[in-house]
Amino acid sequence: MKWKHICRKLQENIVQLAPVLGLLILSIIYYFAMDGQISLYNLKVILNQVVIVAIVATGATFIYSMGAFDISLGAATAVSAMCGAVAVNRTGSIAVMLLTCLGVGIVIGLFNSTLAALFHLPVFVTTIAMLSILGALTEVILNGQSQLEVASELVSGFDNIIVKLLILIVFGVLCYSVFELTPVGRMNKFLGSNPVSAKQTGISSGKMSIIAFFIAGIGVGLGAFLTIVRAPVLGKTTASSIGMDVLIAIVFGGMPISGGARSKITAAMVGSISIVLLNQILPVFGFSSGISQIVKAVMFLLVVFCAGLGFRDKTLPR
Amino acid sequence: MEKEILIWAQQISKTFGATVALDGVDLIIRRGEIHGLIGENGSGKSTLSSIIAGMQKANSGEVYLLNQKFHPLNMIDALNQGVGMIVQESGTIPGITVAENIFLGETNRFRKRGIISRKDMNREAQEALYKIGVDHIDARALTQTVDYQDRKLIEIARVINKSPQVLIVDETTTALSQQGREIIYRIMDEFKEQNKGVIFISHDLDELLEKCNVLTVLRDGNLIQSLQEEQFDEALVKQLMVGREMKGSFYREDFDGSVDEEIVLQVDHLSCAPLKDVSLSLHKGEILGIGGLSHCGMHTLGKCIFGFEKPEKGSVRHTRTNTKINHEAVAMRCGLGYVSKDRDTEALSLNTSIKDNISIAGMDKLRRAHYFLFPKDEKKYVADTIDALSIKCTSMNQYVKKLSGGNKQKVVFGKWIARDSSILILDCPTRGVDIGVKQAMYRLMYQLKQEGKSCIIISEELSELIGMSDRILIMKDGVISGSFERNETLSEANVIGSMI
Amino acid sequence: MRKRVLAMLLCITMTVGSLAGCGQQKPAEQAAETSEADANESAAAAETTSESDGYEAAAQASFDLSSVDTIKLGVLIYDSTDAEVVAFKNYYQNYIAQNFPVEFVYSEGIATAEEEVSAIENFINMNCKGIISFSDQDRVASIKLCEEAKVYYAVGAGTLSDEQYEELKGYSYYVGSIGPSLENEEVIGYDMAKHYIDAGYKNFLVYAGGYPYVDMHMKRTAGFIRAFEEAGVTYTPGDNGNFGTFAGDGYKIDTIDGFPDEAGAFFGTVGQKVGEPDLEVVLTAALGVELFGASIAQINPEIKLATVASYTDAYKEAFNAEPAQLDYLTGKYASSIGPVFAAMFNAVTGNIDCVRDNGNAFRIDQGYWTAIGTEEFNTLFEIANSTEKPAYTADDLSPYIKLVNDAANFADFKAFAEAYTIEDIQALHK
Repeated sequence: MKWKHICRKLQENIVQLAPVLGLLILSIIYYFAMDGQISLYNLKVILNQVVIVAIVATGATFIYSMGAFDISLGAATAVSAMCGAVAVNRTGSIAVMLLTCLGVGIVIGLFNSTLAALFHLPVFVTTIAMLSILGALTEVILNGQSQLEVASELVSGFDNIIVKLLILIVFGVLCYSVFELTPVGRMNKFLGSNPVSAKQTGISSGKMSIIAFFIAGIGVGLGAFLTIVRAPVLGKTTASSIGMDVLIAIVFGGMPISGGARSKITAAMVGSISIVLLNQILPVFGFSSGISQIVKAVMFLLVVFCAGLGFRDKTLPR
Repeated sequence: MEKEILIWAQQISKTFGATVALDGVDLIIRRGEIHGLIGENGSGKSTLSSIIAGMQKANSGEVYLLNQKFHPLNMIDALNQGVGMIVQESGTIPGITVAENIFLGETNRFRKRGIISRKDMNREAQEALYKIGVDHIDARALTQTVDYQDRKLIEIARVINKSPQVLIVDETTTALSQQGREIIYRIMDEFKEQNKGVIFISHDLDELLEKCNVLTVLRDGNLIQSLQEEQFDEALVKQLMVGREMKGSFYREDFDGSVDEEIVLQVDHLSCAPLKDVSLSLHKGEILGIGGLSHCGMHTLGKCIFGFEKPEKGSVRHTRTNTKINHEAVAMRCGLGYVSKDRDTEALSLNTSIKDNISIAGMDKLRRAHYFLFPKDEKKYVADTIDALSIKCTSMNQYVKKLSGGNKQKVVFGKWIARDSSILILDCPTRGVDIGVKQAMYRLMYQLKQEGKSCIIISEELSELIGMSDRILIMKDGVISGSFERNETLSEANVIGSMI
Repeated sequence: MRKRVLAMLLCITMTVGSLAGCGQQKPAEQAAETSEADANESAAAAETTSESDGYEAAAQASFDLSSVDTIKLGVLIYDSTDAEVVAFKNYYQNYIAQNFPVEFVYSEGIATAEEEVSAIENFINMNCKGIISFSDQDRVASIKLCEEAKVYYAVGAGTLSDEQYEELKGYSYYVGSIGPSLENEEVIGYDMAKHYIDAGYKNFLVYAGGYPYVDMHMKRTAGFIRAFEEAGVTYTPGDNGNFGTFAGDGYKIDTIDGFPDEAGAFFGTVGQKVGEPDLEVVLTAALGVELFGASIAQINPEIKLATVASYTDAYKEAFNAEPAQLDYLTGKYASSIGPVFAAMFNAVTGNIDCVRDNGNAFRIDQGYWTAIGTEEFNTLFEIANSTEKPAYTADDLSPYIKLVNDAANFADFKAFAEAYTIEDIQALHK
């Protein structure tokens, strides 16, 4: 009788546990792929690669949980980073660079959400427009050059794991608190599952999306800051993969892209570690560049598909 | 002499996982019968009828149609063999025309030299609609352009057009206005006269008692008793349904319609299609009933009062705080709560837990230090509500979509009761809810009244309005056409005059 | 439900399919199997298959290093679909890896400094002992990253600026660079322009590529300018260091720079400029065939096109088109990356000393091959891409590898790497 109860509980929670289970399996595979020789350096590398995606994705969770879809995150990160780079080159001050990154990230987010709220457009539509605008902005900032450089000695002091970890933890805890310990997370999720019912419960989707994009903007700004620190040479395609990585991370972390009740703030963290581990593992098994992309795409589809099993009402975002 | 047996369902059993929906039920439908099925939610009546109609298969047992084993592959097959069903959920497909819906799956019939003749199809579809007495629907229209009730009529036309031997009507009437109901009733009478059979499922006992000549009561997957017309007795049926004697009366017993002088909500000259210049005031501790035909504007009125729809003209004012209500959030701050008639699409988020559905309306109550929300507070808030309303669930984390209709409605009530709303706007609060829950709801409303809270009940069920309201306003074509104070002698006949 | 199962099956099939698709590891074996299977049908066909597929038919090296454990080396590439990269990969994968105890892993196409850092980190994590780079996003950062991780780093095709070299030459894990120096880039530009001026052509279109942002393009263009100025043409620099204009007696020299954008305006300008009457020669600092080939073929196939690129199939087609699209090519060749491998191999087998330039990392100039006309190109192409005998065979490299030749030393290696002309290479094989 008792074990039956446990079985049922497990069955109920399997969807909840699946992402963590996936991460565990990937870790085990990674361990064997590395022949059990995992040094501190390896862990540092993993963390280095996790940080930026995890931060941007954690912020973006607020957007995704309300069933909205932002495809301009990568471009926003690039533009924030470039503005930050210009700022630091002009002033030589890291603080100004950080503030510029944050400011630009937030302004882009607010622009997106205000536009959507004002014209009653789906956020997805405004982010498509934003994508082209931001693409054009990177060109303008680059001003015909192929690269924008920041003197590495200016930022190299921040290129250490403690700083990155600190930023990640502070931002993570902040997001967790806002999502779990204030009404924002509940309201976002409720908007994601049934916007009409949410409206009838007094939740303003405009206001919530402004809050969500504000927080996501902070994530973008921090991501941009860390992008400069990590590689102080910015180009046209800088951060272009972040938008996709964020999406994959969130999905691998066990959150439906359509948002709603099953949204989790921890999904971004779990998912970004999974995706970095996957990136490390694939070449070990001899997957060359093009093919590992395909494998990742197939796994993405598989995860989305599996997550949709038994929960079929709505897999795609509005 | 007993008439020929049309349908004989023998020892039908059906389980869903661990739940036993039907446990060896025998049902006989004879020619010339309107056979009512009644029972609380989850009693198995819908399962039984859907097995007969070919929607699903029984785990064991046999169904005979005119003494032949009847194994329909699906609903269309069943319909072709003579058993047609009008389902609870809307069965029409949007995006195609009304005519295409009527001839769903058999458009090839109109093929002429390889091309489907729309002209012929539209003509026949129009005829099918005329046949059931509907003349306001254009067969060429796209299905989504006609309203919910008319879609139901389209479905009826589709089934009737195939001239089935047995017609199953599953809770269709709740979705229909008086006019729609008349159509259904007429069709059922015709079936009876033509010596065919009807299985009629409804929550509305009055309707069943009036229309049926046999009534079968189901409870917990068992057939409790089949009553012949001469045995019909309202109290007996209710007792059979719930398995115990119903104590007290269904509605409130007093006939004291007097209310506090204080006006809590003032509606002034509200216009919002189809509403035209509607004014009313709601008193403290008043149950105000609003009735009418489904298109009279009363549902829009409810939405406008809560700020969900923006009026073109006029205002809604919360008198105590002198606040103009123009937004749901403002309404909630003034203590208003709104129960939509579209429970599954508007009032609840189905793929969300009971906890979230209840607590989401109480965020402002749960906040500490302006911003913070503690999971412990939230759990207590929800647990208390589940307790108070005795919502049947496995845990507060259960998704609402897994609950029965009655319990879903309790969750909707719960989300407003929990935040201690002082003015409730209830749009069709007992639609699709079984008698047990219905009675509990009525008790709750009365209790709220006694606590000095006010309710507006918007309903198409006159008996409910008469039974519960201190005052009834009847609407017709967007204006208030009649007002009735609570008194012992008020009957439906008095009220209907203002409706039509 | 059935649909879901089908979808599931499809997904699994795709995964398995893509797994199977990663046959790049052992194409030679696969090809061999295939040819065996087909042997009954046509022996000749089987032979062609195996021949065209790589280097496995090449003569086996005369030395034996089988006692050495396989060493993993990472290769940074800038674009996995680029013809030059494909040729480089082919040489390492199918020739070098068959003759030396090494295994190559490749990065994905690297387009940003961030991706470069990630790729290097991944190589380090995969226990690569050395990294050969064909990517140039942030070399200084890359070299520092490798130094920190104690992984050898070598520049496969390219060079460091004087400033960078001074800063980094003392790094003990920086092996060195082999590639055209920036001076060399200037010289090839000069030679190209000079060739046509001497031949008496008067009407030119000069394409400056990413001038002044891309160093290589700027240097090559500077070479063009020097040649024209010697011929009496006046060059006026543009504003803000941008590309300028030419004016001079008897010469008509038009200019164009930049890259195609999304709007498509670039190709419009190209078409217009190529359409100028009397145009004789188009000199390009890069991407000649890609950007000008089509316009020339459509408007006036008689125009001579000169460019800097590589000895790859794409250019073979351009030279052998009727009429030839390309007249003059200065370019890299696939096995030019042999010497840098030899240096790296020494480093990862603990013998970096034999390729140290006075205890420092080396910086060796290795120029380009120039082909004028189809006939010369085809000869050079054969040598560059030979399946039988690549320009640098294993035996050619072995004297400079300490494990094979104990007398290996830097002076010999430098002489060997710098002797890159066709004559030098042909001399090797005699």
